[in-house]
Amino acid sequence: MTGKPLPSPTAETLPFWQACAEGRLVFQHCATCGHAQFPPRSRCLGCDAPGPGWRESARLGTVHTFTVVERAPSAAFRGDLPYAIALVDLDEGVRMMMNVRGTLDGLAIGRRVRVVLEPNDGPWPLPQAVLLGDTLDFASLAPGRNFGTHVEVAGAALLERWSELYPTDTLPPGGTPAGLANVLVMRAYLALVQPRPPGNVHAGMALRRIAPIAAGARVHTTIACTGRDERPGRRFVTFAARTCTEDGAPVIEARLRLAWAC
Amino acid sequence: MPRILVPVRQAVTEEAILAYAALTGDRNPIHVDAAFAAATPMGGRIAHGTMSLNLLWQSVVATLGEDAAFGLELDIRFVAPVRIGDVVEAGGEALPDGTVWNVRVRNQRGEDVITGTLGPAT
Repeated sequence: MTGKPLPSPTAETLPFWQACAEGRLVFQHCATCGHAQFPPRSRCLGCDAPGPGWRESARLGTVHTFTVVERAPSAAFRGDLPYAIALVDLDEGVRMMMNVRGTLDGLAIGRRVRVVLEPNDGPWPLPQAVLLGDTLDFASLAPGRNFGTHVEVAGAALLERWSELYPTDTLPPGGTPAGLANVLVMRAYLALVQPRPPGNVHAGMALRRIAPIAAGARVHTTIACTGRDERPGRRFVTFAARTCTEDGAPVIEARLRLAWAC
Repeated sequence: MPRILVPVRQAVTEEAILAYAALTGDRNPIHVDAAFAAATPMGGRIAHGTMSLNLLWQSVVATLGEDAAFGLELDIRFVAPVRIGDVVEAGGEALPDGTVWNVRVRNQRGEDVITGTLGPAT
């Protein structure tokens, strides 16, 4: 990864890169006319209103087009060959350019992808695409199947939203509220367990907080399927979530039980 | 030693559900799309389960304090949907041995929407 060009935030793009650093993919959405745009600009391209607001993407999209690079533009890229560059249409209506990471098998126009924020030598992770497999049906959810790790910062963006929702909840100084553990686990589950069939119902949850999470802490949550069972008329899948701090100290342990739709 | 959880309440509004969808990234149309939800067996939008579950953690911390709440496992089932216009209240009481609590979130009609236990890790 050394020697690759890294982002240089400008006044317009800094909020985008700061969100990337926190594990969130954001885009501009104009409150006046509803236009969504990327890359960030100081005015709305739809109606020219100043300072369009920001919205968070669900990080799912479709490949609009792509190319596979066989010849490195510089020595820094040689180790990646062959690599893909794709224009991805996010479901929210903006287009971003990114690499495709992981397998390129099945890369095609129209293929569904999810976006991950890829660390590099600099402070600003880069959005990159990963091909989505087929919709996760009940049969595909084998015990032991690992869905990977989601990285997130328990930062101001989440805490401000929390305080608006639960104004009577007093935050521990420099810390995060107990219930934020649920939010961190759910955000990881929603990002990693893709693509889910529509209609799943959250049936139950067990969660234990092992150690405090400081405000602004970067945490890593790993999700794995731990089992599935069938009752008359209903199928259930259970997942285990494990959240650790950057230095590997466990902070949350949880089990999620979902009534699976298909 | 407290034996009753401090009750914590929330009025479930459309704004709260949309705000919780933004906080968690869970924009499942059953929560945020009125037309979609009306056509499902739920018959209308329902709140995210964990939105009410968070009230239980607030209740636990308010009762036992920050430090004592670590290491305890909250193990619950979502037993009934929560609708816009509901007022939900989290609470619970300790069992005689003092280490395990019966916990719940109830709506304004006294119906349980979440039930479960709080206690040592299982």
